[in-house]
Amino acid sequence: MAIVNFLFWNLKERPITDLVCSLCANRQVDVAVFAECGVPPDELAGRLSSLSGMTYRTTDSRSHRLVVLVNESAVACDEFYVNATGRLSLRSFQIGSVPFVLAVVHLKSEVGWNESELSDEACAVADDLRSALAVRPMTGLCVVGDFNMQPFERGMVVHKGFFSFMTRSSLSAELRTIQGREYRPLYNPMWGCFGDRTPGPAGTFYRRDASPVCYDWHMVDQVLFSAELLPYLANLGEIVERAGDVSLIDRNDRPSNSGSDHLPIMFSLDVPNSLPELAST
Amino acid sequence: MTVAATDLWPDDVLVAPETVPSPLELLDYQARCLEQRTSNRLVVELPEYKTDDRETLRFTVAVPSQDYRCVLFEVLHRPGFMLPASFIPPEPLPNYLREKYVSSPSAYWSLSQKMREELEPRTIENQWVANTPAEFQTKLQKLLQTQEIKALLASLMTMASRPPKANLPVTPANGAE
Repeated sequence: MAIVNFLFWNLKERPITDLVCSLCANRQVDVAVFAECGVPPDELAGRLSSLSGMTYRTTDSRSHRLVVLVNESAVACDEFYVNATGRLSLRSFQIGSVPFVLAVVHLKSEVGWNESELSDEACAVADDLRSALAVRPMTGLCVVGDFNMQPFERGMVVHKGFFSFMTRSSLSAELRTIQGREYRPLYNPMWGCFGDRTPGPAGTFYRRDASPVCYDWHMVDQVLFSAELLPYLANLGEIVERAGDVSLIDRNDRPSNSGSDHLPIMFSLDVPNSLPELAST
Repeated sequence: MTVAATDLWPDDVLVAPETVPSPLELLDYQARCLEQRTSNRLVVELPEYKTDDRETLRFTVAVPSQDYRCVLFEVLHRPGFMLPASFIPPEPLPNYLREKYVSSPSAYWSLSQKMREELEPRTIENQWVANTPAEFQTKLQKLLQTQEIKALLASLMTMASRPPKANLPVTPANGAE
């Protein structure tokens, strides 16, 4: 078996390439996914390769919002779909003997939109995802990114949205039938990272204001898995608080100014160890 | 004394139907044009997504030889009414690739300034809303000439020129049923 490490980080267009390199090298990241990356992808891949000692390459994409870099020796991946806003990019991955689809998302932020509008937008993006997958053979699915919603918000849980659940056991059936239509449930392990009774920060994004309902911590960066991938989950989803020697948390236990205003998340798959098929890029 | 009455009806909406195609005809025609001009290296699908309050038509360009799909733009309208329609253009290119962009100082403002601004009423003009078939045609033409659409098409043409991908999944776009 071989462990493949995935990273997702919304960089907020901050010039923190050194931190990114340090994190990738320290945690042996094989697949790095970035939102709001202010550095041209080729430049980032070059710096990552030179500073981490691993060989990263960019992946062909028509989304300018989302950047995926892969460690050349570890994985093969091809983008096969991008939606109109570039907020959803789908890639067919082959890691060892395990084929699956990696969906990378960066949903619209809440600024100027109410909860209902954000939920509708999440449902529209989820429909993009379902439509694109409908014409392909069903394989494992992993959805990762900045959803700009908490795991409990409607767009994340409703059947026409991302239909994600807080426990693996909710995925005992690969499809659930609602009003005669089948929907694919997804497991959202980020539910388990909330609050201060688990290791690590209480969320991936911190914002405190004087509004009547204020959670302070927000779990907007999330990863979701379909039932096919559950047997391969090694690291279910972790909020990262260090990039090498540098803490991403300040002394008040909030995301530090030295990094992005989002904390990165990581997860790992432990897959049967056979030769990857090379992507035809 | 009687004052001569004036015809107040707008000209653009009362044009003879045979002079301006309907939005759906126009989109379908652009789809066929693209396929013809690329010798079917690019093909167009027009799937629609429906919710209670709106329908979204996705102008999706597929590269059959590479099993790749890219939604070039979307058209939003109310259920049962094709007009008014609003085009959702492709995402803007990053600043370092744009021919021209407006640099906003907002990134340097304090959070409280930003929040104050968000509370004040603002007028937002949507340049991509079309109310009549003629406007739809004009705006579609403008959209297809944008840097983003041209860049996406160029990229898809490059992709289509590559050797066909082996072991394609069975999909309508690559001719399999």
